Amino acid sequence: MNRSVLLAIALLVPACAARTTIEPLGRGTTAYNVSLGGPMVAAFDTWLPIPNLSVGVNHGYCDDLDIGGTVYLLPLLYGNVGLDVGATWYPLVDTAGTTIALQPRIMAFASFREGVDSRFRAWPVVSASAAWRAGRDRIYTGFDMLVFASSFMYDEEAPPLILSPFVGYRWAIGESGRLMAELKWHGVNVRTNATVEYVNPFGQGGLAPFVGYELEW
Amino acid sequence: MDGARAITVESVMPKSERRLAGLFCAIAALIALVAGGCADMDGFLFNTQTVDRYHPPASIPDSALEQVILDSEGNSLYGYWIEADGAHAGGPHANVTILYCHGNKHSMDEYWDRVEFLRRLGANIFTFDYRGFGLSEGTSSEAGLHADADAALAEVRRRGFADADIVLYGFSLGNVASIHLAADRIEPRALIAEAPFASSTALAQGGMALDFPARWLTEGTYDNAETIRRVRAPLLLLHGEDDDFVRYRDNGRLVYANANEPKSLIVVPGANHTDVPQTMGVDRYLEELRRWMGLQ
Repeated sequence: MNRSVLLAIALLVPACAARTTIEPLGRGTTAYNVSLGGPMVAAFDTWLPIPNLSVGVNHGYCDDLDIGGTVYLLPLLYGNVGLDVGATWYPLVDTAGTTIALQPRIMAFASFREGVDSRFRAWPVVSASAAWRAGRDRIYTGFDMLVFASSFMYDEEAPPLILSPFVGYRWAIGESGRLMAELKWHGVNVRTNATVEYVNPFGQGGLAPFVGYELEW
Repeated sequence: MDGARAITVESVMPKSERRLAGLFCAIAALIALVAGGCADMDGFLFNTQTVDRYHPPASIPDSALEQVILDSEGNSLYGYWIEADGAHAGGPHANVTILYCHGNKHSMDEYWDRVEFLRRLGANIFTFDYRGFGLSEGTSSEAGLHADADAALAEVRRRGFADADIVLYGFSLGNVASIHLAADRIEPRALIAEAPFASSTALAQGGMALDFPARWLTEGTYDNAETIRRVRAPLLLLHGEDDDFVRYRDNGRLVYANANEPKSLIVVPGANHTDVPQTMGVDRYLEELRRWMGLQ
C-alpha cells in the first residue's frame, strides 16, 4: 500500500494544539485561541504537518485557576468531532521569573457518522508546564500525558499512556495578543512503526510543530 | 469579561487584531461548511492509477498471455490469464490455477514480478484489476472488492477448473478479496495470505496508537481477522517481521490466530511489507508454496 495517502488516519491524532495555559489569565479575563499544526507525516513525496485546526477559549476563574476548552475541527471532515475541557492550576506564579501550570482535562471524541458501533471515546489527560520570562515574551516547556481508559486495541503491546513533551516560545503581540510557536514530540513512548510514516526520532512517536494565536477579548 | 473592558470591540482591539479575529471566524466557518459532507478513509485504501495499456514482462511469452475482460456489476474489469509454464522444475501443473489478488498500488503492472515468481510453480495464474484500478471501470469499495473477486472466480471456474484445483493468493489489500472468496464462495485447494491487515480499525489504531472504534474512518470494515474464521481451506500466512506498514503483531498475528487448522505461519525476519519473497529467498518462498499447494 502507499502509506502516504493514509495520512488521513493521522487527522484524528488528539491533543494537538499550541499551549495557551502557561500563565494565569487573571480573574474574569477571557482569551480565545486558534492553533494550527500536528505531526509531520510523509505525504506527496515530502514531509508535511497535519493541518490540525483547533479553536479554544480559556477563562480566569480566579487568580491562580483557569478553566477552558478546545474544539478540534479537522476530524469534522470525517464526521467526527474532538474536544477537551479542563482546568489549569498555577501553583507557582512568576516566582523568580518562573510559572508552573498543572492542567487536568478530559479529551473526548464523538462520531456522528451513520452505522458506527460506538459513538464516544474519552481519555483523561494531565499536562504540566513551566514558563519563564523573556522580556514580554515567554519560553516554556512541559509534557502531556494521555491515559487509556480503555477499550479494545488490536495491538496488545500498546502502552497504557501516551507521553508528549513539548517546548515553545510565546511572543507578546500588542496589548492583548500572543503568538505561540511550539514543537511537540507526540507519543515519545510509543513505537511508531505501523501504517503512518511519521518524523519519528529513534522510531518513537512523531514530531509535531504548531503555531497558535491567542487573544484576550 | 468585565464591563470596563467590553465597551466596544473597536475600543479594545487594534485593527490588526480584529482582522485576525475575522480570519479565525472565517476558517471556522469554512471547516463547518466542508464538514457538511463527510469524507471517509476507504478511498485512501485504494491507491488506484489508470493506465492506457498494460505492460506484461517480456519473460512471459505472448503465447502464454491472454487478456481477459470480465463483467462485475456492470463494470468491465481487466485481467490476465497466464498459462502454466511446464519448463520449470516440478511442472507442469496445468490442472491448478492460482487466483492472485494484488495489493492496493496502482494496477496489475505493479505486480508482474510476483506473477513471474509464481509462474515458476508450473501452475496457471489469473490476476485482475479491481474496479478503479488500471483499465478496470468503476469506483473502489469493500463491496466492490468482493464483487470483483466473485467475477474473477467465475472466470476461473468457467475455464473448467474444479474448486479443489484453485489456489487463492492475496497480498495486502488483496486479502480482503481472497479471504472473502475462501470464507463465503469456495473451499479452495489452499489459501495463501501475504501481509494481510486484520481490519481497517487495526490499521487506524496502528497509526494513532489510540482505541478509535471501527467505522469512524471507513464505510467498510475490511475485517480479515473476523472473516478468516469461516475459512476451512489450508492457510499459509506469510508476513514480514519488520513490516512497518501492516505491522505483524497487530495484523497478521491476529489473522493467523483466528484461522482454523490446517494452517502454517512463516514470519520472515528482516522482511518489510513488499519484499517477503526476496528476503526469504525466492527459491525457498516457492518451495514453501509448492509444498503447501501440494505441487510436489
